[in-house]
Amino acid sequence: MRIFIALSMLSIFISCEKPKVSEDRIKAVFAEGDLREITYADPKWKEAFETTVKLETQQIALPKLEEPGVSEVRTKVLYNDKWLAFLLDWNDATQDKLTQIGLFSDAAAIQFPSQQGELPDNAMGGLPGSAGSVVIHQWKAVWQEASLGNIKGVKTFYPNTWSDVYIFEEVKQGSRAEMEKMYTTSVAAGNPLAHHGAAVRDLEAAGFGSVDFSPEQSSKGSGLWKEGKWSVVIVRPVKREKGSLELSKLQYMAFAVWDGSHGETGARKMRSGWIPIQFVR
Amino acid sequence: MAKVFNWQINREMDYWYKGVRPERQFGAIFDINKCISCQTCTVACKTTWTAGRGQEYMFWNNVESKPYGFYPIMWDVKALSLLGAGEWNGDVYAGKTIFESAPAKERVLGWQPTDYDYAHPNIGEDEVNKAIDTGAYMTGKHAAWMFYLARICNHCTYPACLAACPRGAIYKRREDGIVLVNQQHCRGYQECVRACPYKKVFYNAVEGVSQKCIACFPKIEAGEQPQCFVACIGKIRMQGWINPPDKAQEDNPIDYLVYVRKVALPLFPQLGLEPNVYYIPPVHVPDYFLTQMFGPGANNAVETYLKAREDKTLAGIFTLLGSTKFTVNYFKIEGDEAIGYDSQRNEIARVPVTEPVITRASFDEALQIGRHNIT
Repeated sequence: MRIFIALSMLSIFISCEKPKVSEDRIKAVFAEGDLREITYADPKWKEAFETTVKLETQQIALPKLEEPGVSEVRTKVLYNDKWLAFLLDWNDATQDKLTQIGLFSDAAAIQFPSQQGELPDNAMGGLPGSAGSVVIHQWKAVWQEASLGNIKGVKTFYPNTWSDVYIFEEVKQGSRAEMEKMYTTSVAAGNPLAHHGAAVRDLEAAGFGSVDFSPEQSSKGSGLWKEGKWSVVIVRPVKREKGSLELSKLQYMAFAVWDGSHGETGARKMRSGWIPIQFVR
Repeated sequence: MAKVFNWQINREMDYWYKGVRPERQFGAIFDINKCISCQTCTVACKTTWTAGRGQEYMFWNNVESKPYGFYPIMWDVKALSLLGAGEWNGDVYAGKTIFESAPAKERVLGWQPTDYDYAHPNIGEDEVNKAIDTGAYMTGKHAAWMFYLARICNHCTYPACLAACPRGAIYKRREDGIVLVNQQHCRGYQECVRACPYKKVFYNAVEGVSQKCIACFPKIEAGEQPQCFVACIGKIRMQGWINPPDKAQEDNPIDYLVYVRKVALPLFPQLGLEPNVYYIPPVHVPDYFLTQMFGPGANNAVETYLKAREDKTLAGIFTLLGSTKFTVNYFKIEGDEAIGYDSQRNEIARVPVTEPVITRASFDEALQIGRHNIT
């Protein structure tokens, strides 16, 4: 009986095991193997320190949020010589994975200086024209839905709707795909930030309003919303043309979170300043 | 904020960017009195430009009944309610524009619609402003009234959509003043949708970008009027170019109607965007409503229009509406004919100022058949 009670207590203790916490800086923990395929459920995360990053309303560029949104994001980082994996957890009562008129997607982003050395302004590099440059890795719930093939047209939003014929579906000769592309202007124009492509995209910015698709797309990731919480993993290489990290030195990163149903999109967001990140071995 | 001059409110105003007028500005005349709301323009636009996925709800061109028709719902009521009352001192607007009354955290005073707002594009169709009393009859200004308002993007001189886009993804073309959303650069923030008081920018949820009327710029570049203009069976529209007031040309039909005769007026000039579609107000609608909608010149415009039949120049221009598929750059009245010219002053249309009326006998002796239509 005593053994049973002891085992029960042990299992309770294990299930309630508190994460290792780092308060003053993010501590990245070394992890062997290919981190590219890591998910939020991977047991490796139990070895990582958790740091709670406070977020504040973006207050520099117009437009701004009327009211603050998500106030903090819990962060864990794993790394090895090739890959960096970031786990971001935050509370969000609503899962906003589609956009519509007046409805926006949940999203998160991490930001690094483009170059080693002097830190640029943490607000996407600062004032356009005199700004430093930053690299951003952004995950969007709607991009994830699109990448999974879950945005299939108007019926995705209104399952019982009926629409007239689409002209490109009537193509009897030539390429229907080419015809459809003509009626999908963001695709025809080669917009890399529209709803087609990967769940995580690499961006570059040199001042607010300047964010754009990076020519180097090397990060990946995914997110899961469950019981009022988003868990998002973003994996990026240690070395890249812009935004490489020297793991032997203290580095800096910043965070942003968007709560779609709170009207957060673009500059209307919650963000952090630069947070130091130390690579522990 | 920069200071720019808005001639429609006859004063300087604040705008997000400094004022740079295009080399020439797309302009249009819509004669409301001739619109029958057949929606041929709407269909012409729909089948040409918005037949793609995510565009099902979009009408870059729409025709709504006033006062109770809206697309999206209450777009004008909401814009005016947000702005609040503003006085006109003569032809100078003393109130604030949507740029000058922008809240501290916004670039522009606007409101964000939802999908519900677009769910009833024909709401209020043909409804008059009040119940018609027994024995009522119509004369002059009507006690019970409605009219049709055809709407496209106004390709404003000071576009709110352009001012609101934090990415600079909306631009006004230097060569013709047409306002476009860069489909390569847009990230679908919907700031433009929120900012445009006319609600003529639309969000495509399938693609994740915003889209709007492009004034059929491929046709404009070829010297032709847009689809919704040439499809109009009521011949209510004319597309041309509007100069700034200090460079107005009397032989330019848009300049003539807007500046010389002041018979065509902008829609809600008090908002401050200097819209470039000019409406000839409906003659049967009370002054208070027209003044709110078209500014202090509305009543004079109606008076001028009512006398147009006696004025060969005005009547001539009006017959040129819908008489050519080409952009009308210049016009001339020659004898009993109105002539339209393209940018090289080549003749593109010649129409009688007054259509001849031929009356036929109600019974055709030759065919031994009766007629209902004798004129």
